[in-house]
Amino acid sequence: MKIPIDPTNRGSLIVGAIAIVMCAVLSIVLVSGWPLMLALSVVLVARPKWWSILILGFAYTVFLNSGWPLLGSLFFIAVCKPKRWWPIPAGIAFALVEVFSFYLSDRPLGITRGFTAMGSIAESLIYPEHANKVSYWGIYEPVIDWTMALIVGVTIGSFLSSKYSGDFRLNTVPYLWSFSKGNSVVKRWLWAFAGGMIMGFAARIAGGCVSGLLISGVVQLAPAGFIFMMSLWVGGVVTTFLFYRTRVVAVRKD
Amino acid sequence: MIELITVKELIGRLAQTFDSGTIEAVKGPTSLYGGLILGLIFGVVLQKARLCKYDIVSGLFRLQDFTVFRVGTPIIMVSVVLIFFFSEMGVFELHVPKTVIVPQIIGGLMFGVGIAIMGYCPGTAAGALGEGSLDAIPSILGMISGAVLYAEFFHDSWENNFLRWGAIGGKTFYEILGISPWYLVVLFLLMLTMFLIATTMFDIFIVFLRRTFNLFMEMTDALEEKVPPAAKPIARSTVETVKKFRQNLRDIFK
Repeated sequence: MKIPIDPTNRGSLIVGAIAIVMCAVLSIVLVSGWPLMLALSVVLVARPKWWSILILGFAYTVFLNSGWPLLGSLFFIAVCKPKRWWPIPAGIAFALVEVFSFYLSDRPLGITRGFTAMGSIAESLIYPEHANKVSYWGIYEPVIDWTMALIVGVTIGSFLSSKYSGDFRLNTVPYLWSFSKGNSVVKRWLWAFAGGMIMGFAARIAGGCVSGLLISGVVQLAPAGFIFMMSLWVGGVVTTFLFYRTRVVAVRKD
Repeated sequence: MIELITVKELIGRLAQTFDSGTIEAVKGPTSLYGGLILGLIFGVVLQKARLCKYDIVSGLFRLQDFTVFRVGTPIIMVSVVLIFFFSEMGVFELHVPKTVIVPQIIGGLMFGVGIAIMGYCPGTAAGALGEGSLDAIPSILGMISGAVLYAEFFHDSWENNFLRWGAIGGKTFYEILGISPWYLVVLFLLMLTMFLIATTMFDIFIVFLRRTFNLFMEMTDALEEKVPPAAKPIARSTVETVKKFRQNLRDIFK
C-alpha cells in the first residue's frame, strides 16, 4: 500500500507532523491544551474549507466551554463565501463592529497606537538606557496592549477571509502602481516605506489615524474628525495628481 | 440506559453555554482577548469591503473608484444613530477625541500625502499583509519608524507650542452649539443620504465606462489575433508611403 503523497511536498508534511507531535508533547508537559489547539488552528486555517472552519469552531467551543466560537464559525461559513460584499452591507457590518467595540472594549477602534507602541518596544529592546529618557514613551509605554492584539486579529481575519473566498494572492507590486510607476519591486517598496514614514509622523501630530480619529470623531460629531477628513481628502487628491502626473487615469480590469 | 432529556432542559443547557459571564471575561479596554476577537471581525469586514487593496484606495484619490465613499457613508449613518441611542440608554459612554485645529489640519495634509503614495491606511496595511500584498511590510515598518522619529526629535520641542495651537479640548459640535445631538444627527443623516445616492450613481457610471472600455480592448485583441500573418500589410519604404499619402490627399480635395 502506498499513500499518495506528492513527493515534492513530503518535506513540508514531515516538518508539519513533527511540529504537531512537539506541540502535543508540550501540551502534556505543561498540562494545558493551548499548544495543541494552536497547532490544530494553524493546520485547519492554512487551507480553510467549510468543514475545517466548523471543526475549528466546535473544538474551541468544547475547549473554552462557551458557545460563541461555534456560532461565529457558522456565521462565517454562511456569509463569507463571496469574494466581496456590496458596499452598503459591508458598511453596515463595519458600523456594527464599531459599536461592538464601544460596548465590548469601552473604546473606539484605533490602530496607530499599536504601531507607536511597537516602535516603543523596539527601541527599549535595542537601547533601553536611551528609551527611558524619551518623554514620549512615558505616554506610550512599551507594553503589549489592546491595539496590538487588534492588529494581529486584523491580519488573521483578513487572511482567513481571503483564503476562504479564494481572493488570496501573493503580490509585491499592486496593479495600478505597476501601471503608473513601473514594475520595479525596489522602487515600490522604497516609496511605500517613505509614505509610511510620513503617515506615521502625521498620525502622531494629529493624534490618530483613519479609524481612531476620522471615523470615531465623525461618528461622535466631534470637530476633530471633520477637520481631519477634509484636510486628508485635500492632501490626498493634490498629492496623487502631483505624484502620478500624466499616469493618474488607469483603467483597471474587473 | 441512556437518559432522555426534555427539550426544555436542552434549551436550558444551550443557554448556559451562551452565558453572559464569558462576555464579561473579555470586557474592558485592557483585555487582549477582546482586542483579538474584535480584530478578527474587523479584518473580515475590511477584506470583504475590499478596503485592503491599493487599487481601491488609490482609485479614490485618482477620482475613478468611489467604493470607499460608498462603504464609508453607511458606516457613519448607522453608527451615529446606534452610538447616540446606546449612550443615551446608558449602555456605554462616549470617548470624544480631542480637537486641536492647526496640528490636525497639517497632520491631515501629511496623512493624505502618505496615503496617496502608499495606498494603505494603518488599519488596512495590516489587513493587506493578511491578504497577501507583501508591500504592506515596508509600509508598516515605515509607520513604526515615523512614530519613532517623531518621539525622538520633535515631541519635546513641539509639546508646548505647536501642538496647542487652536486647542478646543474634547468637545463636540452639539456641546459647542448647546443643542440636543439628535437635531444634528437628523441633519447629518439627510446630508449623507443625498451624498450616498450621488456617489453611488457616479460610481455606477464609472464602472459602466470601465467595463465598456475593457470590452472594446478585448474585442480589438481578439480581432488582431484572428488576422492571418499573410494578410498583414507589408512594410513599405518611406518614399512609397509619402506617395500614397499625397495621392490620398489629392483624392480628398478633388
